[in-house]
Amino acid sequence: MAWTSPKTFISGDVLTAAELNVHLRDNLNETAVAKATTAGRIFVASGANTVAQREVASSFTQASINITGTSYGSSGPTVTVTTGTRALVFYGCHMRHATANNAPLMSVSVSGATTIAADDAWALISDGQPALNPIKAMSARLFKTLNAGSNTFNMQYRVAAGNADFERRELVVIAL
Amino acid sequence: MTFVNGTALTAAQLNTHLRDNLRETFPAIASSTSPYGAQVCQVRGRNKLVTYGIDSVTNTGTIQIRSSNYTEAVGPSLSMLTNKSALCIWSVSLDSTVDNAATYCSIAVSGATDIDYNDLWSLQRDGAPLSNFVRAGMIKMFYNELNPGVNTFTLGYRINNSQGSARHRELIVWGL
Repeated sequence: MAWTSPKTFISGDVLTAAELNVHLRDNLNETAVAKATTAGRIFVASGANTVAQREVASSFTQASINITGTSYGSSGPTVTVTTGTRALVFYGCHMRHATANNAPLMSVSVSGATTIAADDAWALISDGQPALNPIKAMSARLFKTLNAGSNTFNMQYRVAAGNADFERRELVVIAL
Repeated sequence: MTFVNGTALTAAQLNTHLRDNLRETFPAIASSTSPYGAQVCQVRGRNKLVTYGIDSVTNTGTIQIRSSNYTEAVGPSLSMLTNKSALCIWSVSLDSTVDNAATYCSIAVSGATDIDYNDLWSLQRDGAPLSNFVRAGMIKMFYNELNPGVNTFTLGYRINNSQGSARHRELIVWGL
């Protein structure tokens, strides 16, 4: 049942079961405490007078992968959460290129309820390093155009040329 | 209140303990739209909730950096309603037109609070050959440093030698 603006009671009026069910039972059922099911979740406003429980999730992969493609591919790790239209995403890794002065790039794509391709506009990029000199850094993106529902966030990789190694890869998603 | 058998329930009691208390719950204060992005419920004080926002601004264009001070090249900006704190995350692609020049991107606050840019909380790129972009993220928590109200957060840039540029700029602010 939806939220109803709590009524103002008047002396002399008969209090009915229907009123208590609407203004007490149904409204209490809309509160965060009524909807809370899992420890560690947060609550966000999902609409007018509507709140939703959301997850903060992460995935870490220590293993190294070698990338030779100049287009984004080779997903991983991934995180799947139920979101509204937004999600705050953090991503970081340790990356190094085999050749001096070449760029490894790491970005995030979205699949499931929403399709958003990985893009350099929100990528982690390191260019100009000597060969095999790594950096470990992070970037973040607030995705604001998601379709509400189950969305999967994928870390993806590419190189400008040559090949690069990516390891210690971490993805954190705060569903909103 | 604690209800007692045989005691008449009054309109005033229902208004205080039912109506007024329900009006303090998260669904009562949640709205369908906010000028400050996604709404997250936070504790305002004892038995008091408030919603603050998480929002972002992006600018994919290139801005030229020619000064050793933060005042010349600035943007984008994001205004956010906050209490005393805000979590700021920004990701920027930086380069330089000469080898081994240090390019910086910091954040300042204006509006309800004045806090100047500072290298202490800047994203820095140094030691790379000219025209090689590095894109990475930085985080700053203004913790109990803000005056409650609408604060405007603005990215600024400087370089220690010659000139450089910044592009693919994203600023995320979580009001707290």
